[in-house]
Amino acid sequence: MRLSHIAIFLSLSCFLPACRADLELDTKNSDKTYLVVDGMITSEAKSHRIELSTSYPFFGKTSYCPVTKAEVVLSDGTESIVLTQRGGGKYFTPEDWCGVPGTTYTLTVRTEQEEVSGVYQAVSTMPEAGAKYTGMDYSYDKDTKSWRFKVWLDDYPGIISNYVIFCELNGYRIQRMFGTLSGNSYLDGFHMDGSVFFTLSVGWEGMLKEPLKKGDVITLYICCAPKDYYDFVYALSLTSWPSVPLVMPQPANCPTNVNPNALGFFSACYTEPLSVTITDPFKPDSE
Amino acid sequence: MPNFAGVIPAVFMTFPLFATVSLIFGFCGHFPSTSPDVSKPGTVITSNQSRDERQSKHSVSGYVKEAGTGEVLTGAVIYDIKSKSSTVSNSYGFYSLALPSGAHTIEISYFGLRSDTLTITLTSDFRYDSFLEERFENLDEAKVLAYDKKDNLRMFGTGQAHLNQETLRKIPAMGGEKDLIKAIQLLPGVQSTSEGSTSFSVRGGGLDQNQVLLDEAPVYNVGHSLGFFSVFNNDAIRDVSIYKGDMDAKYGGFLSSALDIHTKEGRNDRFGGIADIGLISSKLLLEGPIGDKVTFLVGGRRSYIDLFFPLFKDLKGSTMYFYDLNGKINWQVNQNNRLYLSSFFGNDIMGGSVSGQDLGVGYRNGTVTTRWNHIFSPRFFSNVTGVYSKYGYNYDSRQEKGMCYTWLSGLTSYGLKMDNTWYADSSNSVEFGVHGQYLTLSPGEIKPLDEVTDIQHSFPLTHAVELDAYLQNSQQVGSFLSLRYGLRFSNFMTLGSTTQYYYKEDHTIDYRKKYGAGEMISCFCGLEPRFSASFMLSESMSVKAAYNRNIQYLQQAAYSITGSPFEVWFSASPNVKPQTSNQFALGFFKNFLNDRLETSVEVFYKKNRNSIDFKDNPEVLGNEYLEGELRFGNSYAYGAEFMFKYDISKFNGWVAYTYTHGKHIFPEINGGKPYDSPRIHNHYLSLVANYDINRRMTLSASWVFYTGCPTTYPIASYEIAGINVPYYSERNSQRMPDFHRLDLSFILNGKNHGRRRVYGDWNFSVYNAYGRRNAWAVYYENDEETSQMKARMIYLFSVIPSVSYSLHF
Repeated sequence: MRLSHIAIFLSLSCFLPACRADLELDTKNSDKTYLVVDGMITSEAKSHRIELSTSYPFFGKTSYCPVTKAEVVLSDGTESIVLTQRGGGKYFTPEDWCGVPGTTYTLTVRTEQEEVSGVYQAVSTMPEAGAKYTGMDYSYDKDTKSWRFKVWLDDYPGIISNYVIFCELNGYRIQRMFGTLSGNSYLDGFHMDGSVFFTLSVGWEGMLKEPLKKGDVITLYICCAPKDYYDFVYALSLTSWPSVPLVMPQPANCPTNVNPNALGFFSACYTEPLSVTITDPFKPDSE
Repeated sequence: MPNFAGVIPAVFMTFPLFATVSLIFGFCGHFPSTSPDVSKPGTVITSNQSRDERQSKHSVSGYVKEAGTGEVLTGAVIYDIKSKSSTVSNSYGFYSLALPSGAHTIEISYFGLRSDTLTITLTSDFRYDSFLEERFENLDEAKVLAYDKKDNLRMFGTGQAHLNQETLRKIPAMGGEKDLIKAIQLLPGVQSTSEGSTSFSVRGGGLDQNQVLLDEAPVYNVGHSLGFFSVFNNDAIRDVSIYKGDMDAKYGGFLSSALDIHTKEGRNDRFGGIADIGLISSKLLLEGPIGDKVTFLVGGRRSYIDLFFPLFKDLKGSTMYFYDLNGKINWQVNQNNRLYLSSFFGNDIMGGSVSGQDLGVGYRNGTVTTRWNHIFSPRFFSNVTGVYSKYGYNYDSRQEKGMCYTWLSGLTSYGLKMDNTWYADSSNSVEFGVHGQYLTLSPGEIKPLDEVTDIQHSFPLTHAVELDAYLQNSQQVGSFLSLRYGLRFSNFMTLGSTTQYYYKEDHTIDYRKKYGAGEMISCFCGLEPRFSASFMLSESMSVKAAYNRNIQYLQQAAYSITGSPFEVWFSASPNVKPQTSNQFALGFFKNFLNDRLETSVEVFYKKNRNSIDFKDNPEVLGNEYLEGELRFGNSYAYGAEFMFKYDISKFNGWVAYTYTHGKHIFPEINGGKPYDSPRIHNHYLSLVANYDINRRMTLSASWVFYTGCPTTYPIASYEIAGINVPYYSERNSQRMPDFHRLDLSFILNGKNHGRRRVYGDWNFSVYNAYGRRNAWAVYYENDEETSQMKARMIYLFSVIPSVSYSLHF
């Protein structure tokens, strides 16, 4: 169930007379700047990216500030690799590098950048495979003007997996297409036999800036994630909820596993990406 | 006549076993009435039915009722002028006053009604049912008599308030929809959580710490339309009492308050009713006698805001309405036995379509109460009640075939209790009883809504049994000191059959264990002493003190910011300890102007242990490991309440101010630092003013001011996967903007109001008269012009004028 949909529905139907207005808040920005780590390594063989930046004032100009010239080291306890900086604040593993399930990885960041200088560490253990990933297909629904993506997947019985899900269009992550599927026992061994897993359409809520076209590649990652990373992504998803107090939890910070006193998360996840190439953008449903 | 004084010790010996019931029955015969059918107020009676001169004390007992309708009156004051002894009619209208032999003049009064005077030469126990008439002409006379008994000074303990229909009727309401929950939010110590909400906090307590009883059945959700209107149909309500911590020993299971609501019983003189047409809803209530001994009441209400939906493009095809039904049958079997059956059912239905997905939300309350009042003797009153209560809600989601399912959650309880009052003598009245309750909590169930959808799962149910027993004595020591002391014993067990989850210290699942039917999983018990004292410093001044200990076995963690119908109840379990509270209160009361001005100051301090709260960013819906999302700690609150109540000439109303400070201390939340208790307003001021222009017209106003509740604002920002993520300050370290609002109403009673059989009343009201924009929620958005984040607020209501019409017949 999409909680966000419920929230939107409630806000639409229940608060008919609700109005909006600017508000002067008697609050001030934090006088401290934090290092932010946004990094995930997976079992997929590719160049994995760790992104470093700093926090910035909330009430002020939005200013993403990358952390450059940092030393970023990834270690599995026996071997260490130094990640290479490419672009502002982005650090990459070698090509075709892949994580091994069951291995504990330590990420160490050394930076001299003003306000966040220091040594930071984060630890994550990659879970075992939790599902058999079979395939993905798509169709266009002209009634709702959206693309519907069906998935074939079998969750392994007996392994309780916490799934973190995200999606890429031509190798770039689609913003807000970032969610979780909880590790409840009642989902243990579930199978998806061509069920519609997600939809995409154009617009803020639809997450696409422009319609899909022939040759586009949609890649879905259903990652088996450590529980703490699952909690982090779940918390992240709450920040996109509408401001409806009846269904909105108490505001709270997303957890972090980067120490000391940093923000963001480093995780090691198992995944087998599912991809589909758009051959006919308006392909009707075969059923 | 049997002497029941000999029976009572035997009752205590078996107490708290249910065997008490049969024991009493075994000894007790039918209590024959000694009184003639007295129905006219002010009648002078000389009792000569029994002449046992050896007895120096006799009882005057009976029911206090409203003349005409025959509705019993709770809280009527029965006062003997000679001995200055007094008592108050109980929830069922029964009273018993022990007096020495001889001549007495007894006044029976109730606010808003003409007093009744009984002159009697007492030589034996005497039964007198008093019928109080509505006041029409001499308004001042009625007030003087009603206030002369200084019940606000003498009343036990602190933190008690009673509201009747007359008071509720005058208070302005949103859309003209009279609402008792909104009315009690104007009393000191009771706070609304946010604009328009029926959720309330009492003396810094949680929203779940209020016991709401409708005809003694627990009501687990008091809000319609996601909490904007209460589920109680005002036309069906007889009276309401709130106990803010200093509770009778018969109340228990909730830490902060007991809100005891009684519905009308149905008039016994003729068939009649009330039809209301308002902006929000329409109501119809019918009542009347069936033969000589039975009365009935049936009422219904339905909102119709959804009728306007087609006017809005976005809301076409959506639905949103609520309805509720009240019913009651009252059978006066004979003078000593009464049977009641009352029920309530309320339902909220919402539905609409979002992004091609049909969604539905519904929640519903239902209660049934069966009650038997029995007068064993003039000094022994007993009530046996069986209750059933059910609350549940659902989310329905219909996408395409194969993706249609519903999420259900709910709570059901069955209860049986026996409450007894023994009016031992003129100085002591002893109350004792036993309560038993069986609870089933369903945290969640997923069911398919079509034949193709392959989603079905039920989370383990929680079964629990709660057994309570209490004993309490109200004692008058001399003419100045009143004491009430009691003890409550409560016991709570969770039972199979179910699967119980056990968690590690880090709150992750450790193991699960299956329990067979009736097998005990956990058991808790505790003693809850209650004490209060009232000391009359002079004829117009008193000081009161109270100590209470309460244990709560069923609680909610605060998930949503304002409180919502979808909060989850947790029972005490191997993972969740029962919450306890110790409260101390002290009050000073002073009346002026022949008791037409009542003032009071009350201070309180309470400390709660084993409070629960959700961890940061809890995952609630669909999470079978919900108890793993909880964190545990302590909390405390203290404050002061000031009340200034006036009734001078044509003006009446009150001014109430409350200061409250409360903190939560949870080792695993906010880094272990104390944080402000959610939903508490430090300063809360309410003004209620009614002006009776004449017999037909009343002008009323209410104004509320409170400081914003604690909240958490972002103080920095960062980016993850292209998402702008706020970084927040410490939990609840900031405050929402201050709130204030003025409501007005003008009541125009029909020419024949109360005099003729059919008359109509108009109610014109303005909600938020000066259009204050009160922040209901705060959110943030990027200003495209300046590229800076700015705060914005959602406010719900601007000026809402409304008119409603009530036809009484």
